[in-house]
Amino acid sequence: MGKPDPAPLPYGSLQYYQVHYIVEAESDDNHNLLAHCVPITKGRLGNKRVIGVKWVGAGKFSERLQADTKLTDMLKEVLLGQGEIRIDPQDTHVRIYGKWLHEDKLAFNETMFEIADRIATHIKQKLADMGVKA
Amino acid sequence: MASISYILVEHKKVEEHGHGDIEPVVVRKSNLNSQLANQMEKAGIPCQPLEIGSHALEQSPPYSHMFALTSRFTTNKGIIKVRGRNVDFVQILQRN
Repeated sequence: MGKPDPAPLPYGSLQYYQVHYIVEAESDDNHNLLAHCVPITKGRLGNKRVIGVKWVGAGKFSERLQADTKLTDMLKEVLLGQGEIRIDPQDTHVRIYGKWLHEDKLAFNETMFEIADRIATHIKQKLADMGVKA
Repeated sequence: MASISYILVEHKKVEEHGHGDIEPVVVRKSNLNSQLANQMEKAGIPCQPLEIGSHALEQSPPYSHMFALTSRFTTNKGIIKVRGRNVDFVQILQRN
């Protein structure tokens, strides 16, 4: 029996997973929905807490999300674990996702789902305002 | 031939000690999307896991790459169809 390789090549699937929440929306203006939120934190290590949320985006969609106070309150709960939340539009759909999670932490997060659902509501309203049926 | 008879005797010994009464261990393999769908159902969200590779979303690239440092290589671990919500699908990706 051969000796195990002390320095195996770092290829192949890793133990990190990402959950994408997908909204079906086909339009030419999907690129205007590009946005991500950055947590504003206070304290360090165990005392670290999220005191605010800042949405950064390409169009006015980020302003719409920033104005939603209920969404901000929900985000404050999960952003310490999720890092940041991105809204990544493509031609036929829009993806909402957080950071990569280790397999030990991969589980259904109800708050994260409610956040994605609320963002999806804003996406559909925005597309409806533009006259696109999502 | 002698070795075969020896094995038979050994096997009989094991049964006499009562190991045959142990209930068999049943291992059920389920995909990640099925596991997550079960958790979502328990949380009261109606959903249905789809077969891996059966939906067009799984064939398309998962990132637009408009954000910096998004992964180039990922593995699709399944997709879940959500009913009655604004989120239409949930997809699980594994990092390569």
